[in-house]
Amino acid sequence: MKNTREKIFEAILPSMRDKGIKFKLWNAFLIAIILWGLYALWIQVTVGHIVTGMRDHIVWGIYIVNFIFFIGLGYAGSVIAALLYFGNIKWRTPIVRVATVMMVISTIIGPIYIFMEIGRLDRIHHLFIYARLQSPIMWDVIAVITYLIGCIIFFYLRVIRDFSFLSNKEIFSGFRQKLYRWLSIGYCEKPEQNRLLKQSNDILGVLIVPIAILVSSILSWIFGMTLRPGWHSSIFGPYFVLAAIYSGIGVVVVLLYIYRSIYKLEAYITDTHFKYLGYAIIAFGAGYGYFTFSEYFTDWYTSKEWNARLIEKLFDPQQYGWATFFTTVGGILIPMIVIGIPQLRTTKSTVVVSLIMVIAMWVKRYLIIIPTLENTLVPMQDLDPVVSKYSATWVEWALVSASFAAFALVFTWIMRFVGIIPIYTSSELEEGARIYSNVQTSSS
Amino acid sequence: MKIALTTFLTLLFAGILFAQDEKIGLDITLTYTRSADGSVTLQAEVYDEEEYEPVTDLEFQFISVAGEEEEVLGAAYSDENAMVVLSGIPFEKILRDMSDNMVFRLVGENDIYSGFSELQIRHVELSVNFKIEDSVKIVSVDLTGKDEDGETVGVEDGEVYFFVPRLYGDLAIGDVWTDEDGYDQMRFPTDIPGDESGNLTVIARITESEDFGSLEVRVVKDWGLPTMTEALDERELWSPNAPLWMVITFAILITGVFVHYIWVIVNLYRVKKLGR
Repeated sequence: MKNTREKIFEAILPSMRDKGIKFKLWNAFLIAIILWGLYALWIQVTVGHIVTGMRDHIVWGIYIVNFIFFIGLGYAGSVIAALLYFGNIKWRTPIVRVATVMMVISTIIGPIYIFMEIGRLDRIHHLFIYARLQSPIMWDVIAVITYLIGCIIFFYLRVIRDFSFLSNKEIFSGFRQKLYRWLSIGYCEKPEQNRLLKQSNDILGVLIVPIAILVSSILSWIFGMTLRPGWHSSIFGPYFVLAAIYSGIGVVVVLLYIYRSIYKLEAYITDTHFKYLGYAIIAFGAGYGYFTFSEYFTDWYTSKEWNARLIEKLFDPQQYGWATFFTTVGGILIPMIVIGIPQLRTTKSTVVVSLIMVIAMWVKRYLIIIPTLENTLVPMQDLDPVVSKYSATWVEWALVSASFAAFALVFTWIMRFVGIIPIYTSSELEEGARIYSNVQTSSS
Repeated sequence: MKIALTTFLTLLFAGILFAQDEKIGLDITLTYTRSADGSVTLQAEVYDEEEYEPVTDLEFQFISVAGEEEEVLGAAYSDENAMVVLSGIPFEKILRDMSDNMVFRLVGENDIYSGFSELQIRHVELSVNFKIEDSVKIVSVDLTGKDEDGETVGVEDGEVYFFVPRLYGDLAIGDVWTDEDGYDQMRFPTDIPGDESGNLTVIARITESEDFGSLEVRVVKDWGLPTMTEALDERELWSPNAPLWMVITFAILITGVFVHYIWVIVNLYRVKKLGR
């Protein structure tokens, strides 16, 4: 078992000690984007929200789109990790690691974009002073905070034993070793310690899935419990949950492939991982596609005036027709066809369609928010397009770009610190032994 | 050289004199408003006579005149909409002759503009009365003023509008036109919602009369329909306090989750303790 751990450690060590020029350039690139975002934020704070495309009618822009996207990834991370954990899936370990790290980072980055959206940040405390439990916004605040705490504990439980292992590695600096030791809270493989950790993992694993589903549903109810066409829908809860998990799997696929390619981890992140994740994409894509079809079809069929106007807006090529086409074809059909047909299904094709799907899912959130807000409830004539149409400004794009850069940067550094392959869990699982034999075979 | 200098200076002074003589005149529309609390507002709209452009940032003096006597009421600058407003003038400060006539003068001048305007207003008193005749609710007005001898007499031809304030503005409920005794009446509507006791604020208003200016009187009368507002002490979705089932469900959920978090944290503490 110990040899297995050492082998895994040797395999992931390059990713944990990368000091190459590419790594530095990558970090510089991300930091530059984040600085650009901070400059945009400074402009927005000093000049005001007039520098954004949001106006009286369209009060939510791409900040909210980004919030929903990232918070969805956060929910997806825990659901993927917990389901694989309880399914006792042998090949789960790298997926669980990527999913849990994605979960923590996304759950932190997402809500930050609520603050970007709010015009009067000086009144943010009013949210608590004048809290009304009946408001879905209040549910969301409480749910996101509760979920974030759960995520951090869930993630921490899954890395404690690896911290213990890494704290003994002299290849790391003294400070880093001390940090590992402090974070490992004295874990030394005592049976009672293992029992307590397993019990804790089981508790959080059971707990985090319903919390994630509930939190995702609450987010959807912020929209669903208004009377706006396009939002007021009873299927929005499960629709959001499915969309979150679906896009989350896509991000996991892309991240796994990047790490596998850069650090030559083919022995640990195998084609099998991508094949199974591809199956998950088909399953969730089918569910998500079904909900999308049901949502549009019922709106179109009832032909209620408001809904009909929104459907026309969404399907008119002069308005959002091409975006709707992209989210439907690129986000649902292409991934399912490419992964579903064995002749087309390769690791690379799975990654490419996952990337397209993730972009499409971001655009889909845009289509949920913006066209609905542009579809005014009161008939209005001769409205200035400046107030009746939304177009994101460079400030908003800079801040949204900064969120992706921040995600990538923090992910890079967390993975550098904890490693992309869970050392302890992998070595314990039968798959770990198989991987070990693979490594031996490949090295010989 | 001397001739040239003399010519230049002559032209320069002539130009200055010419410019002083050629100040642009002002087109001023002055109005008088006496509000229900008795204070007076004088307001003017000021345009230049040549281009009819709004005149902004020009200081004006408001003067009350009675015969030879003058009283400066105050001064104000014209704003970007060419409006000059002097409000809150105590009625007692305004000069009146024996017949209660009032003359207001507005004077404004600077290097470019010069002009003034006068407005004569007859002071009248408006009173509102309520009575019920044969179960019909009647609202009446008495419009009185002074004649040349200073005697109080009814004022004829006063058009008085009645309003009731609502959330987004004043609701017009009718109007009367005073006879030679300064009197007129109308049937009061019986279907206007009031407060919990049925109280309504009734406004009687004369608007931009050439003779009397604008004035209004407000009277509170319990002729409205009492509005029964349900007390919001019930726990509902729309009340300040959430329904009990919601509070209990929320408390159970949050407690359930955080108890498990604490359980896990205690486990981590025990792991740490075992590691010592």
